[in-house]
Amino acid sequence: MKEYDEFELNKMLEGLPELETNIRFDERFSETMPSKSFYRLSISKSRFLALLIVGMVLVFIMGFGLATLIYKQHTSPLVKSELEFARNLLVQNMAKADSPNQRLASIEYISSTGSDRQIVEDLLYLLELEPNENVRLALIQTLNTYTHLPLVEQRLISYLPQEENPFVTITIINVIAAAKTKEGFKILKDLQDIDSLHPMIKNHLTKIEL
Amino acid sequence: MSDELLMLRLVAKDLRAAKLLFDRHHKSVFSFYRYMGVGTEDAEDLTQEVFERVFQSSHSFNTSKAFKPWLYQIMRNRLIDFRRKKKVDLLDVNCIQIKEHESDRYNEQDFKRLQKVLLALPEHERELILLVKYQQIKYAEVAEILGISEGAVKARIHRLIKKITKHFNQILQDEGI
Repeated sequence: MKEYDEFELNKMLEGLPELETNIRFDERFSETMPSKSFYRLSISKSRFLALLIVGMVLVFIMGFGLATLIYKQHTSPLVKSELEFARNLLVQNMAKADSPNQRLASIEYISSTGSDRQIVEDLLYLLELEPNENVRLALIQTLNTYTHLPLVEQRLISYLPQEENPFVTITIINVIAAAKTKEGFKILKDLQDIDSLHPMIKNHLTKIEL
Repeated sequence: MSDELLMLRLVAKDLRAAKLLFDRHHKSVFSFYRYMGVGTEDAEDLTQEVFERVFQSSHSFNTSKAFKPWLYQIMRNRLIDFRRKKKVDLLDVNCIQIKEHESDRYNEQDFKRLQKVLLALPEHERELILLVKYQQIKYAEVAEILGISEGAVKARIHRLIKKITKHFNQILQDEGI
């Protein structure tokens, strides 16, 4: 008599097929997506604290903007060091923000103030600390616009071994490959020779002309 | 692009992200309801409602967490609401037909037998097995959703597989195969 074992039943359950349906994506779905005014109006009490913190950050940023204006008119070394201190403090606070959305928003702010070198330094600093892969992707995509600074490639090369997510690694590889430097290509070739490398990364490297 | 990243784009009202998420998951949501014993039309309505809710609540999604368990919470809540309003009749197993291209993996008769076994399970057991085996949500995440320990999830799944195997073989025996 035919009899199935637990292993076979387990496989059958895992392989339950997706059933066909006629449902199609309806453009009207977008109408259910909340408008920007919804976000403003529907903030719940539990989020009040978060709103307060965001407000404080905004006040801080506005103060920072005003100070930057003063800085442009008066280049006193004391004002300069105070401003640098304030910027560092701001970056530190942003790195500590609990919500990845807040940290994503901070990337835009950071990349809109300061010199290119300062921006790159701050973005690289945040990259080292960032636990969320999506935020890390956004950081690398922003860094990609500063590849005219050799520092970006050098620091991404040294950061590469500690990145655990293959998608983020592939994005870094793309930035390094786009820079087309000898050092970058050498590192990517060396990487390709590592046996334990994630197959997806290995496969991606084979598609790049090294 | 990961589901979590798509959710971030959804917050920014990116309609393409909404469509991508829908295309990726609507069949699995629909199938889950069907396997849970909901009729085709109701399962389609529920699936639409789930995605409307996903789009409405995108701002409350925590991108540091996985998308699937969050989606499942919405699916579950919709199912609970649905059951409050309407008593769900058990499916006629002949209603769910196996697709032709699935036939190399599945024998049509086995598929029907498996559905019969699933539908005979108490609802909470059917839900658990579909969560872990069909939706492929991690044990730890299932434990969080159901408010039990990860060890308890593993133990229950182990017992359930045994039970399903026993019922399945019983059906075979009854059919004289």
